[in-house]
Amino acid sequence: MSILEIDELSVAFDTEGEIVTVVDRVSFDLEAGETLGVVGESGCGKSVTALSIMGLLPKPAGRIQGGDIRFKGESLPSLAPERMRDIRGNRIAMIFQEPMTALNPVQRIGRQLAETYLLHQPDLDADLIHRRCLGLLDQVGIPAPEQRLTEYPHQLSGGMRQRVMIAMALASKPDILIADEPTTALDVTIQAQILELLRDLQRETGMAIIFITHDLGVIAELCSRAVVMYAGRMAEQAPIRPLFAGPLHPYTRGLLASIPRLEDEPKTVLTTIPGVVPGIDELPSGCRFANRCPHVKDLCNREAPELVVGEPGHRVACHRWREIDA
Amino acid sequence: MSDVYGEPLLRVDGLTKHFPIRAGILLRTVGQVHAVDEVSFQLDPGETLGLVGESGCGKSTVGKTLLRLYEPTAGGVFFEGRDITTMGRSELRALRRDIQIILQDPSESLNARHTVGKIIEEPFVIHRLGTADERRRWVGELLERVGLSPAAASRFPHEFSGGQRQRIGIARAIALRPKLIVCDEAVSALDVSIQSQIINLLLDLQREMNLALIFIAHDLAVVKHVSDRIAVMYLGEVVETATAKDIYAAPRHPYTQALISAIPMPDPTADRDRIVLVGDVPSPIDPPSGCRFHTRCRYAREDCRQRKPEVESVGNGASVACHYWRGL
Repeated sequence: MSILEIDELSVAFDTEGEIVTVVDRVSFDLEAGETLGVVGESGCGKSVTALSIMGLLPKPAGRIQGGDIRFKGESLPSLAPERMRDIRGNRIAMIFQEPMTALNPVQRIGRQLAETYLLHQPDLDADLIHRRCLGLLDQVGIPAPEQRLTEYPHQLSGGMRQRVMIAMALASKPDILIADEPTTALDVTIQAQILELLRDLQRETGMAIIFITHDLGVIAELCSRAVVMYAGRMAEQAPIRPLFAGPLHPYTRGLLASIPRLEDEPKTVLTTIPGVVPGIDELPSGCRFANRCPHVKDLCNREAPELVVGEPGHRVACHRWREIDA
Repeated sequence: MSDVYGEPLLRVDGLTKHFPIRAGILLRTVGQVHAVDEVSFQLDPGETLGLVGESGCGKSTVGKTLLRLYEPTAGGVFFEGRDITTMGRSELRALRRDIQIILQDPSESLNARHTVGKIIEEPFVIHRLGTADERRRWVGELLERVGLSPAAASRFPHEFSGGQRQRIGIARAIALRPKLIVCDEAVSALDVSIQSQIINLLLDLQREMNLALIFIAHDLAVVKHVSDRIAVMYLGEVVETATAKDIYAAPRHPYTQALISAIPMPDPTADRDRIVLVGDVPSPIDPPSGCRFHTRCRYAREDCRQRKPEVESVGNGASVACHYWRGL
């Protein structure tokens, strides 16, 4: 069953009087208990999509221009602010790349954790909260939790801070966790710890995860399905194995081919995607990948391709995917 | 490899850099950050040495210390046989023609108020090379060489994307035809599709100019792709050196093994036999006794806590610093 439906979502930003559509008709579903990857490079709209789900678009510049976001059938953009506050943090929680921006630097960890309980259950007993906070820190693998509760965020390492963030997100046993590049700033051995933790927690709690990243390695490792975004639009969506074994969109193909791999011969020429992503003030009217695509035809420059079903469960937005795939 | 009698292009010998920690109103030294301890390696013309390791392992400090951007605490850095660590000001300035550095964020090293043309021309001006006309022509050629239009010379750095700014940084670095470039996380901030463009450019320039590179990065897959040999650092020390191929195929040090196994592979069908290291990297202010990796090593034995492993040569220019690597 879909727990979250993103339906033709468009998000616009007002930049000095000019309205720019930064997310353009993005659609995907999230099944209960699954891990869905959203992958793409800087500026592809993956973080803006996440913020829209949370109702956290920067005001007043950003707004939902069209489409809908439904959580268990309920339309989020049209909810009253109090009801949205209840869902945000309680039913849908989010963690970010840099926990320091989300943690209060002058409050002890224990106080901040307790607050997540008090916010939603103000009459909870103090002893019970304390026990639950200890339990949470233990659950996310923080050693000596009793001592950590009395410490400030700056006294923790980056990996430990991310664990605290995850603990706070888990406090209300959310149905959905949105993780926006939570391991990007971490060292690779610490990243491995956090990914393992997320996998374990999901097994225990059954929550669904939307994992946003630029790292296709992390996607391959953690997710069951992924959405590939480029310049504000969806390029492709597929279960992980077909996505990596037989990508249909030229952008996904180029991206997969340009990653240096450990098994490569050193000092060989890497495949590249020529050119650069168009800026948001110079988006073309046709396919947004057209200026970098090796398969570009006249039609691509004229018309934006619709997202169509390629193979079962595999959708692609490319005029020429059939010819390229052949 | 260099010939038996000659010197390599660069020989780093026991390089050590400690930063004092000062406290109190008199700023007394109360401790030392052991950023780099007894690091040794060599580099031949046209060769790439990758320096890899996690935050705080000292890889960037090595790069900056061997350029004398930091004064070394001990050890020698010999470039074409001359010790950089004892050079005076004018000798150092002359040396900057031969050794250049490229940083992660080019906007930090490119003067935002100068045009791209002026930025790239500056090395020629400092070293009093060419007439104004010649310099303008050279700037145009350099821009074309790194894949930008000569018209870019009249624009400002902020008008370019991250990848293009890194191209500008590279154009400036190769302007004086150096023999060695230190690339400090030069492609780390770039998106994958741009990163591969810049890696190809660096490999091209290396072949064309017989450039030696010291390639510092935390991404082992990227380092492996550009390097001939790789040195793996942990808490200020080199724990293993080997050819790029060998270090991936047969890592000897337990830390290298864990580092490689932690890299997420862009292949959902890959077998994952992951070694997840427990705990965090200890503080370089008070590094662990004995082998510095013993607090996180799954093979650690009692004497690893007490006895520091020597760097042991294991043939083919490779070395490893672990008491028990043979038995792993």
